[in-house]
Amino acid sequence: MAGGDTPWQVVESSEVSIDPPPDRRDEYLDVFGNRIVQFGVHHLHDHVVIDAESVVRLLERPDAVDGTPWEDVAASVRVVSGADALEIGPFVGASNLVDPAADAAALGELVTPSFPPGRGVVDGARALCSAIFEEFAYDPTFTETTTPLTEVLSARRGVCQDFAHLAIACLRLLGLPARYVSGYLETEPPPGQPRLVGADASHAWCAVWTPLAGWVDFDPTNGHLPVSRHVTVAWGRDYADVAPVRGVVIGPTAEQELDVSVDVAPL
Amino acid sequence: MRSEVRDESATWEASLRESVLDPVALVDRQAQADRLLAAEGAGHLVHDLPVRADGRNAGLESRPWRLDAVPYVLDVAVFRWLASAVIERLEGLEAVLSDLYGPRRLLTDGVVPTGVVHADRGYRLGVVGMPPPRRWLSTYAVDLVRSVDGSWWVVQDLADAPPGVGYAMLDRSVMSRVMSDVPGWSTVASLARYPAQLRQALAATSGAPSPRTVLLTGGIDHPSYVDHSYLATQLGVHLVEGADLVVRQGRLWLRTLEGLEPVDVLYRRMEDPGLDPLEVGSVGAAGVPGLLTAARNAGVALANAPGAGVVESAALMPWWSAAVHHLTGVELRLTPYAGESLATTPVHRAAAGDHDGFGALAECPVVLRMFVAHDGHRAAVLPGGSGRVLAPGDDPRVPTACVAKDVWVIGSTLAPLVATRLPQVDLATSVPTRAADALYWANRAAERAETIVRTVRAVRSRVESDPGLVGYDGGRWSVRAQEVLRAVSGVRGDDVPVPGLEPLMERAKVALWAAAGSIGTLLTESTGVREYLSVTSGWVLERLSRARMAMLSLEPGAGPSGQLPVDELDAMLVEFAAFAGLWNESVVRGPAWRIGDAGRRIERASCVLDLVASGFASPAGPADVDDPVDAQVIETLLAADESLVAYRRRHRSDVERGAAESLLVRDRSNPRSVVAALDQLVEHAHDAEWPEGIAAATAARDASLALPLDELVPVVRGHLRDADRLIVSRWFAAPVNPVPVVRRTA
Repeated sequence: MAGGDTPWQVVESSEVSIDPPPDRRDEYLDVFGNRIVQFGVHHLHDHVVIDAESVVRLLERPDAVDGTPWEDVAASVRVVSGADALEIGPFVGASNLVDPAADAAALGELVTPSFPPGRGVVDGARALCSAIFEEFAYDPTFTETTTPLTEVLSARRGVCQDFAHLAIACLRLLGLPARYVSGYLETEPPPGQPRLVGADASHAWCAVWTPLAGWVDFDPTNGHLPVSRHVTVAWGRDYADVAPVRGVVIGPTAEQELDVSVDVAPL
Repeated sequence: MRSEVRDESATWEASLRESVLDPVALVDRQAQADRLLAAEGAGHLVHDLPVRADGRNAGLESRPWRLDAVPYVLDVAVFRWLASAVIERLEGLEAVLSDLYGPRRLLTDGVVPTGVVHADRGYRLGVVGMPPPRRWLSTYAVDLVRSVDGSWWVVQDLADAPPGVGYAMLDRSVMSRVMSDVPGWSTVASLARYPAQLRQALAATSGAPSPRTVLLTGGIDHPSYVDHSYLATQLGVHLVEGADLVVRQGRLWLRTLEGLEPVDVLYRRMEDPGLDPLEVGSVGAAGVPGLLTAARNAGVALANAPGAGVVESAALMPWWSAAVHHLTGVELRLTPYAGESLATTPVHRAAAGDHDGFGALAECPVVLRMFVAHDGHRAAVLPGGSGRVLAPGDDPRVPTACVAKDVWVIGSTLAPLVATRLPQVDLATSVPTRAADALYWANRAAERAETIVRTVRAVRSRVESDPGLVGYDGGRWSVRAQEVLRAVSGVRGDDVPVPGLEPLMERAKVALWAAAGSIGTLLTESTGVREYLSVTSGWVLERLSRARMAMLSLEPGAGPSGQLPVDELDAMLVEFAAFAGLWNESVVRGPAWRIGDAGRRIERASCVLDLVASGFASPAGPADVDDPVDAQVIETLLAADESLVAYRRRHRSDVERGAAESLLVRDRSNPRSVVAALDQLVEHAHDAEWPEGIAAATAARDASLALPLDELVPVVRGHLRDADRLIVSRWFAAPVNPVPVVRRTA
C-alpha cells in the first residue's frame, strides 16, 4: 500500500500503521522491488485497521517514444539474455491470473486490429488500450477480484483490474512483455461539490516493455496513457502478485469482511 | 544413456528366478501380499467412512494399491551405475536451483529461456534473492525407464515433495514376509539403513545443534496419506498437519498438550502451493500462515526448500542437461525419455487386474522410481525403490492406476550397518493436540461399539439358549431387552417396543448399525494417529473394518435369519478386546495414552449408566424382587457389561437386583463398573496435574458411590458431560484452519 520511487514519482514519506498493534511485523522488498509489510495479530481481536499514508511528488512524464516494429520486439524477447532476461522474464508467459493461451482465440480477435504488421510497439499498445476502452463497459457491479478473463471477454464488461489483465493477456499473446501496475488515481469531485474523503478507489493499469523506452504505462480503463495523476504503488505479473491486502483469520467463527477506503488529495 | 552392465540374465540368478516365478507359489504369495498390504497400510481406509467433525473424509484417494508378488530385480552392478547417475543428476539439479534463485546465470546467459522458467508454476519468485537454504534438495526421487537396447531414461524428476518412499518401504515390509522362504532372499539388499540416512539428511538442513523434526502431511484426505504416516512411523517423527503448527516470534512451533514446542526442521510432504496461505500463488487457505517468512529468517528449515519444485517441470526438463553442463561442466548421463520402445519384465497377471491370471505371467514395461537423501556431504540412494507397472502402450510420462512392484537389488555386498548417531531430542513426550483429540475419540468410539456388540450378543445368546423367554408372560422380557438395546446404541425414539422375536431382532440390527457407525469413527480417528498405535493394531483395525462392512450389509426386515451368527459377534468382541489390550500393553505411558484412556473411561461409565438406567427401570414401575423376568433382564445386563462371570463367582444365588446393581455401579474391584472407570479418570486427572479435571472426575465418582440408583444416573451423567467439555476445551483447543481475508463484494 506504500509505493516506491520511480523515474516520475518521488515518495517523500510513507507510513503504514496497524491497529491493534501487531505482535509481529516484518518488512521486506519482493523480487520486483515492492515494499511488503507482513504482520500478525496473535491475540483475540474483532477488527484490524491498516492505515497507509504517503506523501508523493509526481513529476512530468515524458512521452514514450519507441517505433520498433512490434514483431521485432517479440523476436528479441524470445532470445533475450543479460539483465533484460531478468527484467522482463516474469512478464512474458502465463501467470497466476493471466493465461494468454487459455483464451487465445478471443484475445487474438481483440488485439489483431491494433497490431497490424510493422506497427511500432508503443503505437500498437496505445491502440489496444483505446480498443478496450471503446469495446468494454466499465461496470463495478459485474466482477469480483478473481473474475476469469473468459467471462470478461464474453460479457464485454468489467473493472480496471479486468481491463489491465485483458491488455496484459493480449500483449503477452503477441510475445510482448506486459506487467500489471497497482496504484491510485486522483479523481476530481463533480463541479461545485466538495472533495469527499475516502471516495477514491484503488486503480490498476498496465505497462508494456519496449527496448528503447523500457516500461511504458497505459490505462485501458480510461483509454489514454497515464498522466501525472496516476500514483504507482506496486507492480507484478498480475493482481495476485500485488493484492494490496492478503491474509487469513484464525478462529472458531472467523467470519470477516474487508472494507477499503482510499483518499487521494493534492497538497 | 546406456549403463555399462545391461545383461538381462545377470540380473536374475537362475535359482532365484525359478522360485520367484513359480506359478503355484505365486498364487499364494499374491494372496498373502494383498492381505498384508491391507493390514499394514491402507486396509481400513475405505471410501464410506464418516466425515470427521472438521469436515474431512478419510481415504477417498488412499485406497490400497496392488502390489505385484513378482519383484523388479536389479543386479547390483546395474544398481551402482544407476545410483551414481541419479546422484549426479541430483547434484546437477541442486546447482540449477542455486542458480535460478541466486545469480540466475542460466537466464542472463540465455541457456534456459527466461519466459519458460518464469511461466512455470514451480518457480517461486518470492524465493529469488533470499538467503539460500543450506540445501535445496535434501530428498529427491526420479522415475526411470529402460529401453529395449538397455539404455536408461528419465521420465520425471520429483523434487518438490518427492512422494513414495514410505510406500516403497511399506511394500518391502510386505514382500519380506511373503518372500522370506525364497532361496536367495538373503542376497536382496536391505532397506534398513535408509531411515537413518534420511533423518541425517533432514537434520543437516538446520543449523540447530539438536534439531527437532516433524513431518508435515495434508492429513487423511491427502492422496499420499498412507505414504506419509508410514514414513513418519519409520523415522520416529511426529506426523503433523498445518493446523498443528503456528509461527510465533519469527519461528515455527508445534501445538502440543504441553503448550507450544519449537520445531527446527519441517519435513514437508505437502506441495509448495499448500505451505503458506500468505504467499503469492498459494492454493486456498491451506498451510501455516507466515511459514515461508519464518523459513526466510531461519526460523525453521524446510526439506525440501520451497521453490525446489521448479526442476520437476516437464516444460523445462529438456534444458536441464545443458543447464547442468553450463554451471558445473558435468554431462548428465541420464537424459529425458523421448518415446523409445521399452524393455519389459515379468508381471503377475492377477496383480495387474486379470482375474483369471492367477499364477500366469505377462511381460510389461515398468517405471522405476529411485529415492535419494542428501545431507550436504553424502548422498544415500535407497537400495530398492518402487516400480509402476505399465500396460502395453501406456506412455510412462502419464500417471496410471498403480500396480506396484517392490525393487530388489541382488548380489550386493553392501557395507555393514553403521549406526548413525543424531543428538536425541525429546519430542516423544509431546503430543500434538490434534493427535490427542483423535486418540480420545477413537477410544470412546471403540468402547461404545464394543458395548453395543456385547449387548446384542447377550440378547441373542439368551434367545438361542432359552427360546421360550421371548414369548413368556406377554413378551415382557423382549420389550425390556429392546429398551436396553435402544439405550446402549443411543438410538432415540419414544415408540413403545412391541413384544415378540421379530421386533427384538430388528432392534438388535439397528443397534449393530449404530455399532458400525462407532467403528467408522474409530477407523477414521485412528487413521490420523497410526504412529501412536502398535503395528499389530493395524491388523485389528483391518478386521474391525470388515466387521463393520458385515454389520452394514444387514438388510432391514429380513427377520431372525438376516442376523449375524452369535459366534461372529464373539469374533468381533475378540477384536475389540485385542484393540483395548494393545492400547494398554503396547502404547507408551504418557500424555497420549492418558488422554486416550480418559476417553475410554468416560465412555465406559456412560455405557454402564445407559445399561442400568434402561435395564433396571421396569416400565410397570419399580421392579419386583420376585419377578422372574426382572432377573432375566438383569442377567442380560450383567452379560452386556461382561460381569456375569464375576457375579456368579461371588453370588451363588440366582441373580438379585441389589447385588447386581452394586457390581455394575459401585464395585471398585470390578473393572467394568462405573466407579472403577471413574477411579481411573480421577487418577489420569491427577497425573496431568489438572485441578478442574480432578474436581469433575471426583464429583462423578463420589456421586456414583453415594447416591441411590435412580438419583445417581442423571447426576453422574451431568458430571461426565462436564468432564468431557473440560477435556475438549482445555486440552484440544481445536486447531482450526485459517480463513482467507476477502473483499466484500458490492
